[in-house]
Amino acid sequence: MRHEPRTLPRRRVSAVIAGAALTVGTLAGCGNSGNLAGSSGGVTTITVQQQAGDANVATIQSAVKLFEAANPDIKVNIQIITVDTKNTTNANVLSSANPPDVGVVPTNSPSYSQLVKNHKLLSLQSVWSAEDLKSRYGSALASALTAPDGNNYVVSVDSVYYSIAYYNPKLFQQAGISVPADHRITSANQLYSMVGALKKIGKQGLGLGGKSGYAASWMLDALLPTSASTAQVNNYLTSWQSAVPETAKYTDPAFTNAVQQLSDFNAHGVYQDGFLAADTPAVEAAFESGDLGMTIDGSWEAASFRKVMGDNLGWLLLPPVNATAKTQITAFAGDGMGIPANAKHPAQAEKFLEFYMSEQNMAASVIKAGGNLAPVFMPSSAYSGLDPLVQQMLADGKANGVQSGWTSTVPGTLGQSFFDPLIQSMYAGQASVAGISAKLQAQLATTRAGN
Amino acid sequence: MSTAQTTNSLAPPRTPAEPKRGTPRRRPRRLGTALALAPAGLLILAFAGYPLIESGYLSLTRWGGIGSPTWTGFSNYSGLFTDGTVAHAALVTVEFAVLATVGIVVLATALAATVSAGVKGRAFYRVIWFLPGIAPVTAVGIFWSQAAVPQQGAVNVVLGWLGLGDEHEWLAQSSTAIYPTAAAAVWAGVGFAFILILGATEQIDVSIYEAAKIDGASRLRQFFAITLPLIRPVLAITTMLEFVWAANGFTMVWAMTGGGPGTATQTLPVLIYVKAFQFTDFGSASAMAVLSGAVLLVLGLIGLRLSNGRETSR
Repeated sequence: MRHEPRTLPRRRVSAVIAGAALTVGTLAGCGNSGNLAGSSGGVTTITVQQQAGDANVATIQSAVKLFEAANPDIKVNIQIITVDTKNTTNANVLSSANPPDVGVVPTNSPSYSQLVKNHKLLSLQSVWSAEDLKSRYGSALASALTAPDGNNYVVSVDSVYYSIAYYNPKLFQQAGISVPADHRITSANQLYSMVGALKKIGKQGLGLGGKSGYAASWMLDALLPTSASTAQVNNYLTSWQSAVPETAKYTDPAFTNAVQQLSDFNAHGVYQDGFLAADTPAVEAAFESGDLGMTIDGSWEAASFRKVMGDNLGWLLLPPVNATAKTQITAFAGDGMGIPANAKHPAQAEKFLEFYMSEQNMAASVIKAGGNLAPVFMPSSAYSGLDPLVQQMLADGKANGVQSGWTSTVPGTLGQSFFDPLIQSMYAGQASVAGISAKLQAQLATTRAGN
Repeated sequence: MSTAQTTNSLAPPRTPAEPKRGTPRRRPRRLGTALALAPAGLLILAFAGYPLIESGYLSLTRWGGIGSPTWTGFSNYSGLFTDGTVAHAALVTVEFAVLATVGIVVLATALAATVSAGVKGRAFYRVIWFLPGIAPVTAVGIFWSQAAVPQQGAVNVVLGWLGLGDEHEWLAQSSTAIYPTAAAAVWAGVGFAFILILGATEQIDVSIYEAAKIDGASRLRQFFAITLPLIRPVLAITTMLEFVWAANGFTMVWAMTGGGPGTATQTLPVLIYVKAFQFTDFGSASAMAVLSGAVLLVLGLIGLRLSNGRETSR
């Protein structure tokens, strides 16, 4: 049966045209929808990115509230991005024609080097000078945050301690485990006996989010300084730059012994059943519910654990590779913020970053609201409101020193992004310590060639 | 009435002035058709043609995602064959796609045959079996990965109740991680295939089944001798589509395993994502995408050809 073509009533035609016009208008608007920044009535609105997470969101909300109160002519629109976005596609957003005014730039990811290399970030020399960041960061961090051209394109906005083995004191008591003195497990054998005792009472040993793609390599960051000399560690942290002579190889025992220790942990059943398929939030939940005696996590999680576990919470550091070495706390200060080259309101963005890095904001927002540590020197009194365990970690760091983690320092293409799948493969029986070391050494050559 | 008159009266009436092909009167109609097709053609060019060309170009360059690409010729392609990672990912992709496709097609066919056989509540089953297909794939992946957790996961708990043990670590072992991932893909994908195959099954003339029944053919015999041969073209196209979708699928694998443990479930789409966004190596990632796209295109064309051939032979 053939249908005669129907003629549309005039009203319907008008409606279709109006609809099409609206659609085109909406699509055209999409081009600007990623960034709500603008100016109206003397008030400039800037967009500031922040990484997702309770502590991070609390920090930025507090900072924005204080900043807006001090700068009534600037309004801040907060844009939350995930950890995955931060390390992957956000570089494209920041290099676009319509980026946020302040963007999250992780200094240990390939995004950072791509952005710097292609001049997609503005120099923050005025922020660094205004807030005296070179001296407040300290030479090591200030040097790590300085680009090969001598400029500073980011500010490190917070600092955290990680690779902390939180434990459940009640379970330890039930299992008859004596809590190691000085927060330090003295040897791998001591760890194995602790895990064995926990398993005897029907609990799992050390929780590890093996699927999360970062937790596995955190442990290497803690172990490497106990396996290598200070000079070797420093070379591992910096040899990805072609200007730095390569004096420590990844095939050297200094590195392979640390990887071997991780392999031994797995062989001795230290981690919970099915850890390679578990992500970090699931492991945290299992620890809070008392299924795990210990778990690997960071200083930012202490307050969350305490909400569920109350005072039934303690912390330890992993056993050293060389018995004579003392494990130090591992720190990360790679969460950076920068101003994209195409930002619409760079002056206001600079003003925001200057405020963010001020001692006032560090104390009131980064530490008090979020519970992280400041990347710059702060008086002890600023930390008085932090969880008691984190205060203990701070005191430990002052007494015994703090170590920058290897995966937190080297580019992700050599560090975390490259190393995590290798470690997972090793745990899954697909790769050997020697194989991993050889691949890292080859990857180092590739990384040096591009830097 | 003469024979000639009868013949004339049965012939279709010829329209008095039907234009011949290529005559001036036909041109305006062809122009109208071209104009009507133009928006769709432009959209296809913009959203399929341009990305394809751009991917092809990027595959011949070194590009970190920002700035201008540097021309490198075919080095990205030659690099793919010197690195065992790509070959491994290709094998994993084939394994995953075959498992998912076979699971989906077999299960969907069995379900369609059961529902079309007139089971009670068939309308209800149509909806129920289709529901997983409309659930967000990420949510499905996260749910099934949690369900596979030893002791606490739903699947392990149920197996524990049945006395089959509750400590299975399928996703944590490189030798088994692909199976629950493919199973989840089957669960999510069976609904769409079920609807396609059910539609084909219900097109079969009931009288054929009635004749077979009179001849004493059992239900099973009817299924293998009548249903399967008659729905073969739809089965072929469904199989081809499911294979291409599974081989191109990223979300389920990423949500369930992230490509791990290690690289045990690293399919080509996962490897392409990792290369492009974690290692900012868009050139190699594009080369992989172009190659795998070409292979799937050939497979798709073969599937279409087979499907058309069988339909014609009917």
